[in-house]
Amino acid sequence: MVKVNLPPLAEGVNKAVITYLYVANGDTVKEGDKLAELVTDKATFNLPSPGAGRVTQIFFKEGDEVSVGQTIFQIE
Amino acid sequence: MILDLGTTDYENAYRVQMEMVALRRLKEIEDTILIAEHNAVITIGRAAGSKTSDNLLLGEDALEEYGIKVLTVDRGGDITLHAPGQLVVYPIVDLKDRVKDLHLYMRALEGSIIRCLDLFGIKSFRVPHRTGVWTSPRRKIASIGIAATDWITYHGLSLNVNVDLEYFSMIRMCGLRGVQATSMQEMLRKKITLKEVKGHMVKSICETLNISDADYVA
Repeated sequence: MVKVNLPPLAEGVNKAVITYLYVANGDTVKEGDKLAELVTDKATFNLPSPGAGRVTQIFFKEGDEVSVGQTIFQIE
Repeated sequence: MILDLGTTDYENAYRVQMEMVALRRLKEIEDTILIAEHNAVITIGRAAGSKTSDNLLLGEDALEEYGIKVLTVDRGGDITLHAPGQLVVYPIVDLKDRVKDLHLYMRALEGSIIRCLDLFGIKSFRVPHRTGVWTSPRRKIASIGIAATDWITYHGLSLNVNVDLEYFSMIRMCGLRGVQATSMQEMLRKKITLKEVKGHMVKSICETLNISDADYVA
């Protein structure tokens, strides 16, 4: 089981907003597949899957604000 | 590597960017600068939160009359306009080989524009918390909106060279009342072409990002 957390995107930036979820619960993903799109100021970041597996939990929805280090996905 | 797409539709430039990002991920190409000029188009970034934006000031009918498309795109920021006379630069850069900091990267892009404008005698600066390049606190000469996949960047910057500033009356820039667009031509009060600016902008951004421009002829 792998937890996918929000990595630091920029110095002094502690939060980002989820603007798009590329996957849903139960989807199968490969390493590098885009899981979510997050925005901070005028920068968009596509969060990649760290490995292959099935998405078993999504802790946030589109429009939610996420803090650096918080878990967004669980992949098994 | 520098790739000049010339005048091209936004959608075509986006396709090329996606191809370049895929190749960069596979390490089949080095960091690359794409440059382009677009036919008139309004793009709405994810910050708008929907497929339209309160900052789009014209209705669909009026836009159709002007022949201007409105596209939703996957970059940061709200609403932006591209039109002929604007130099658009899309750096495809792997930040994993540099510093993984999206805001630092945007500040670097701003710096490259400021240095380029300085060569033409135009004084410009950053405004805190308002990404872009400004010639006064309410006049913006260049916009920035970036995206990154696996820390490989796409989208980028647009610098108003001699663009018809009337286009900008169609949008509320930065979502703020009273903010206006300016251009190099307006600031210099004389005609200036994209060709005159391209070489300097390419050189400035290549120096900033430490990319070779040896293969580029403006």
